[in-house]
Amino acid sequence: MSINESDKTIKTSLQPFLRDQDQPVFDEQWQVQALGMADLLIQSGLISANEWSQTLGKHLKHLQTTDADQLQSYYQAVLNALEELIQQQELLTDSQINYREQAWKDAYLSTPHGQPVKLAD
Amino acid sequence: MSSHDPDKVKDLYHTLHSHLPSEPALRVKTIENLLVEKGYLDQQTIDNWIEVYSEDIGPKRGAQVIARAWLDQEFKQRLLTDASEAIDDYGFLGKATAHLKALENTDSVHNLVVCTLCSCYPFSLLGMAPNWYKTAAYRSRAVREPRAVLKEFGVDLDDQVEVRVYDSTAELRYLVIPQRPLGTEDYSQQQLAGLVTRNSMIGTDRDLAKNMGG
Repeated sequence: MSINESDKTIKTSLQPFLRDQDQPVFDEQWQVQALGMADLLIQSGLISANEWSQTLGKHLKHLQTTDADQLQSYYQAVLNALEELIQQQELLTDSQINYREQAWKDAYLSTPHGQPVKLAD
Repeated sequence: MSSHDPDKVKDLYHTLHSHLPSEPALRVKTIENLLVEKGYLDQQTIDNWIEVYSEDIGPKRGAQVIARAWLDQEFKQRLLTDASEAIDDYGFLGKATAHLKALENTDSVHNLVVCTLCSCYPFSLLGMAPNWYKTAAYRSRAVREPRAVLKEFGVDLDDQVEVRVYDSTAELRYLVIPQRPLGTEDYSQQQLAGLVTRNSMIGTDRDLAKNMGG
């Protein structure tokens, strides 16, 4: 660790740790979904536990130096790591994901309130 | 205020389409949708995982294991020798993805667990990791200045107590066995389990006598 890096850590260390046992571990549903998918892919051997922890570690390092310790940034790192490994293992490609994401977006925007959101055929 | 405020128009647009999920939510939904469609994951399995981990599993499983170890010396020995094997009795781990090692606190030793790389954690036993466990501050400081970190958690250690910090990995995770409080000789396993905090099994809590009523 360089001196600059350790300076940065000392600064973030000024924040008090949260000791509250009752705080929610997930803010939003997508966070538990992302973590669940990662765990299940590891369990089924489609991604390895070691690759997962290395990749998550890399994304955490990247996000947590710029965005200090927010729960949101932790789960963003989970999502980024999940995407990276899914693509690396050739389960899905980036363009497949982007294409389907746009289809969902269109479906949401064109569905009136109160109606179930469905993908166009 | 102007009659045409671009921000207001944007707000109105978002209100009308307020059911469009946030960016990461939509991304996750998409990935889930595709992984299920291609047969890599099963929708029901994902839904079960979410239900179990958001509601059912908490540190209570770990607390049961600790209480049993306090009462049953033979079980404690098994736990210390091979925690994964000992805990197999409970059927908690399912398809275990990592080995588990138990670390016993004594009058002269305090164990503290961290994952400096990411956030490896025995979640089938302790539920989801607390938020502070995932922070960069905890991950770096627990190794560098464990006593100061412990102090912030309210654990003030005498100088003669040795602090041992264990760094979890994808392959090896840890469970701290806290010390059984004095004066609990008559307690049932259930009552003992009620004294065990999640933090004490990570090592950021030590004296459990404070949880005894009266």
